[in-house]
Amino acid sequence: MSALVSDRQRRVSIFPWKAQRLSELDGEAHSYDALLASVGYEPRCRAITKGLGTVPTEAVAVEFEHTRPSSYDESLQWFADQGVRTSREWAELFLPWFRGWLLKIAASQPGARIAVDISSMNRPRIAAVVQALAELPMDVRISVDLLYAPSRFSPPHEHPDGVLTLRPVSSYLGGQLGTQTSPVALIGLGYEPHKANAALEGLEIRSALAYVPVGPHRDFRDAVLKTNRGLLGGPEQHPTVNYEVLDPFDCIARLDGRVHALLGNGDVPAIIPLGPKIFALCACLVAAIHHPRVSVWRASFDKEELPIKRLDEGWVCGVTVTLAPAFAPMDDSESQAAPASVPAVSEPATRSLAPTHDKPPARPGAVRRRGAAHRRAPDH
Amino acid sequence: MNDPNDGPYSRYNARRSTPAQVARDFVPPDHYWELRETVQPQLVIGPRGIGKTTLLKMLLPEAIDAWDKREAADARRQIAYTGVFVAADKMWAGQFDQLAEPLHGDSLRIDARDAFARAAFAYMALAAFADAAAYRCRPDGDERQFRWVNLEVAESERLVGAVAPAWLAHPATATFRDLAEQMQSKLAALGELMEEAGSPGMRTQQMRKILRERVLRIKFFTAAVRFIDAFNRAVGQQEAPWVLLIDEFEFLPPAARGLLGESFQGHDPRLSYKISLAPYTGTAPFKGTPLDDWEKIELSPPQNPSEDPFTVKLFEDQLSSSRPDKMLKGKGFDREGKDSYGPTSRNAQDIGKLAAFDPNFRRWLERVLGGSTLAETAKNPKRRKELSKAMPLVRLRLEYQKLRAGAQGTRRSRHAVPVLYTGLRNIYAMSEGNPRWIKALSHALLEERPRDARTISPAAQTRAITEVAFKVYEKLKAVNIDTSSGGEVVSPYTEYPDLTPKRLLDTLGDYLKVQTHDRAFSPDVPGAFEKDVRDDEWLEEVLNSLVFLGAIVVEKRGRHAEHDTIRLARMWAPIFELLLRRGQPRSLKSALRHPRVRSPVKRSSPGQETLDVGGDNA
Repeated sequence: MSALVSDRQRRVSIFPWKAQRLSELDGEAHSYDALLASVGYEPRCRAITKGLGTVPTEAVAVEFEHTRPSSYDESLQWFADQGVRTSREWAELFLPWFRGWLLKIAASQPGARIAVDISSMNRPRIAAVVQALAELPMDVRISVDLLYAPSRFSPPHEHPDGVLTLRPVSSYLGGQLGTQTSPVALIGLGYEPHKANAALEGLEIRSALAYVPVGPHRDFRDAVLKTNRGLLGGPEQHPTVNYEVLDPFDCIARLDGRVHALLGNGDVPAIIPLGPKIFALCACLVAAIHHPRVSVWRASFDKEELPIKRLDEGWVCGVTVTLAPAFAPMDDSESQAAPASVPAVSEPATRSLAPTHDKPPARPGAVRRRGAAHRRAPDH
Repeated sequence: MNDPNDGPYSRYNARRSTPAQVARDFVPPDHYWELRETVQPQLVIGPRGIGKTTLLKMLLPEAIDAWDKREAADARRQIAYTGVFVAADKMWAGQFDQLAEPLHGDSLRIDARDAFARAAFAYMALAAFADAAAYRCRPDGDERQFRWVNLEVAESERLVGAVAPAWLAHPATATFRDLAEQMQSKLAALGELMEEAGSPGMRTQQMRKILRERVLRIKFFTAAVRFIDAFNRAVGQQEAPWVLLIDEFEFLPPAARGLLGESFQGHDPRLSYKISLAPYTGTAPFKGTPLDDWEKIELSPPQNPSEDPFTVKLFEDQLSSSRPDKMLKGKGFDREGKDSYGPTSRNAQDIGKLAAFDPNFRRWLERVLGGSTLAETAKNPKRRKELSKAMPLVRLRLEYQKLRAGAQGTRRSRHAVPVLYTGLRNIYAMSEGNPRWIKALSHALLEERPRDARTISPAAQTRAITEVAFKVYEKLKAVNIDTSSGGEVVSPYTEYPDLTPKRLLDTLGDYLKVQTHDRAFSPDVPGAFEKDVRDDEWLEEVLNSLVFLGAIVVEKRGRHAEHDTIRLARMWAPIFELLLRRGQPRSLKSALRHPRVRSPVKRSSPGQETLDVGGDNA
C-alpha cells in the first residue's frame, strides 16, 4: 500500500474505496462521524448525503458565493431539511475553516471517520481539501473517505466561445517556482470542446499525455474522444491513457507512476485536470505526494462557464485517506481489513516513507485488489 | 514523451526547444543580422509565431555551435557578446501570479510582492548567467566552438567562490552548474516563502520578518556585474560584453520590469539587453524602464511574402524542394488569357455568369460598359485596368455563389472552399511570412501529396489550406487571456464586455464578407480596419491575443495617418470568402456595432439543461 505524505512520525495513506451503487449503500456499514458536502446548483450535490441515509451529527454543507439559480436554493433547503448545517466559508475562507473543522473533530474523536463529498466542489475547493489533509499536524488520527458521485451522461454542450483563464489550482499545488524548460502536461480530458487544446496552447506546452475517462456510461468515452479528436488524432497525436472514473485509486497509481518517471527524467509535470472532478482529486493527491514539484492547473471560462444541472449516475466511488502517527494503529478493528495490494504508488522523493501498512483501518469500502482489471465499469 | 507535434502554434514554438533544436532548421531573416551586429540594447517586437524566441535563442553560443548552415560562419565572426537567455513564459507568470495574488491591500504586502518579483527575476537571470558560463567553459569543448574558453578547474572554482557571496550562494560552491542549481533552489525557496507570506491571517509582524529574509536581499545588478567582472578577468577578456536576452518581457511582473530599468540606469557597458515582447501589450511593460529609448526591431509580416527571401527559403526547406512553384501549381484567382475580354474569353464568360444573378455586379458592369461591348470597353486602357482589378472579385463572388447553389438551399459549409486560393503565390501570401503558418501549411501540403507525386493538385492544396485555417480557427473558441500581472488583478475598462477573440474575428470577418459579396460591387472592396477605438483596455487585450496568435495583422500607421490599420490574417480568406488583398480600411468602431460583441450567445444541446446564470464550476 502506499503513502500520500509520510515521514517518520506520521502515516498518511491512500486506500481504494469500492465503487457502489448509491441505492445499495449500507447506511450502517457506512456510518461516519462527520460529513462535508457542498451546496451546489446541480442536484448531484445531494446524492451522496442522500445515499448514506443517516446524517452524522456533525454534518456541514459549504455554500458557493456565486452561481445561485433556483436549483441552488432547492439544495440549500434540502440540506437544511436533512439537518445538515450550511456554511458560508467559501473561496479563500474554506481552507482555514476546513483545517479547523478537521482538527476539532480529530480532537474530540480520535480516529474519527469523515466523509467528504467532492462531487459538486470546484477544483480550488478540492485542492484545499487535499492541502488540509496533507498539512495536518503529526498527531492527528482520522480517516477521510473522499467520495464522488459521477454525473449522469448527457451529450456534450456547445459552449460559446470564451476566454480561458489558466491558473494553478492553488498556491500550495502551484508547483515549484523555477525556470521550466521542459514542462510535460498530464491532461485529464473532458468533453468541453476546445478546452484541452486551449489549455495546452495557453501554457505553451508541447508534450502532453492525455488521460481519457471511461465512465459508467459508454457514450461518455466516445463523446470525450470525439470532442478531443483534434488533440488525439491527426498530426498531433498526444498519447493517451484510459482511466476508469469509478476507480480513482487506480488512476492515482497511474498518475503517480508517470509523475515519478517524469521527475526522474528531469521533466516538470503539470497536471491539467479537465473532465470529471474525480480526476482533479487524483491530480491533487498525486501533486501533494510530490509536493512541491508538481503543479495542478485550472482551466476555466470563469463566469462564462455553462452551469449544467447535472444529475448523479447512481454510483459513488472514492478513495480513503488515513492519517495517523507512525506505528500507531487506528484501533483494534484495523486488523479486520487486509491491505490493498495494488501497484505501489511511488515514494515521495523528498521525504522518507513510513513502513508499509500491516493493519489498515477497517473501512467498509476498502477492498483487496488483485489488479486494475478485476472490475470493469458497468455499462448501462 | 512525444515530439512537438501539435498544430501550427505550439508545434513550431521555439520556446520549448533547445538552442540546438532551434538551430537545426534556422533560416536567418534580415532582422537576425541587426541583432547580431550590436551589443546596444534592442527591443524585438512582433506577434506570436513571427520568430522572436528563435531570433534570441540563435544568439546563444549553443545555437551557433549547432548551426551547420553556411551563414553560421558569419554569425561566429560577428557576434561579439555572450548571450544569456532568460525566458519569462506564461506558465511561470501564472505560478507567480497565483502566489502573489494574496499580496495586495496594504503597502507592506505590496512591498512584499514587489520584493518577491525582483528577487525572482534576479535568480532566474543569474541562473541563466551561470548556465551560459558553464557552456562556455565546458571541459569537452575546444577552440573551434563559439566563445569557448579554456578555464582550469581551480580557476573556475576560485571564480565561483568569488562571486558566491554576491549571489547569496554557499561559499563552498565549486562549479557554474552548482551555482545555477543554487539559483534554481533559491527561486523555489522564494516560491515557498511567497506562499507563506500569502497565507490567510498573516500578521504584520510576521510579514516584516519575511521581508527581512536573506533570500530577498539579492541585488541583481551588483551580482551580475560582479560575475561578469570576475569571469572576464579569469578568461582575459576584460571588456567582453554579456547580453541578457529576455524573452516575452511582458510576462514579467511589473516590479521585475522596473528592476531592469534600475539596472540599466547604473549602466555597465559590459552588460546589455535584448528584449522581446508582443505588440499591443499596452504601455505597462514600459513603465519604469528605459525601453522607450531603445532601438526597436519590429517584426511584421513582409508586404509581399513571395519576394521575401526568408519566406521563400523556409518554404523550400520545409517542402524539401528547390522549385516549390513546380510542386504547387494552380492559378488561383488568375485564369488563362487573363487579359483577354473577347466574347469567348474566360473573363467574358465569368462576367456574364455573375451578371446573370448578381444585381449589384450588373449595375457596376452597366456603368463600366456604358452601352459598349466588353471587348470594346477593354480597349480603353483605363477601363481595362478597372476590369482587370475587378476580375478576382468577380471570380470570388462567382465561385462562392456556385458553392452556395450546390448546397441546395442549405447553408454552405464553411469547409467547402473553391480552388481560388491555390498556387505558390497565393500560399505565400496566406503564410504572411510567419514561420508557424509556413511550417503548418508545408506539413499539411506534404500530407496531401500523393506518394511519389511531384505535384500537389489545386484540390489537394485547397484541402490542406482549409485544414490549417479551420484548425486554428477552431482553437480561437477558447483563448487564454489573463489580465492580471504580477498578482495585480486588473479589471479592464471596456465598452465591449462580451467581446472574445473569436467573436472579434467573426465580427470583422463577417463584416468584410458582407462588404465583399452583398454590397454594391466595387473593385476597391474593403479589407482592413482603421483602429479608431482608443482607451478600451479589454478590446486591446482581445486584439492583442489575436495579434499574438497571428490571426490579425497590425500595419503601423504611416507618418500622416491618424490610426494604425489592422487586417485579418490572409489565412482566414477562405473562411470569410475574402480576396487575398489588403483592401480599403474601414472604421473598426463601425464594425464593432454588431450585436454579437455586446451580447454573448449561450447554447446547449437538447439533452442538457443549462441554467441561466454565470457559473464557475471548474
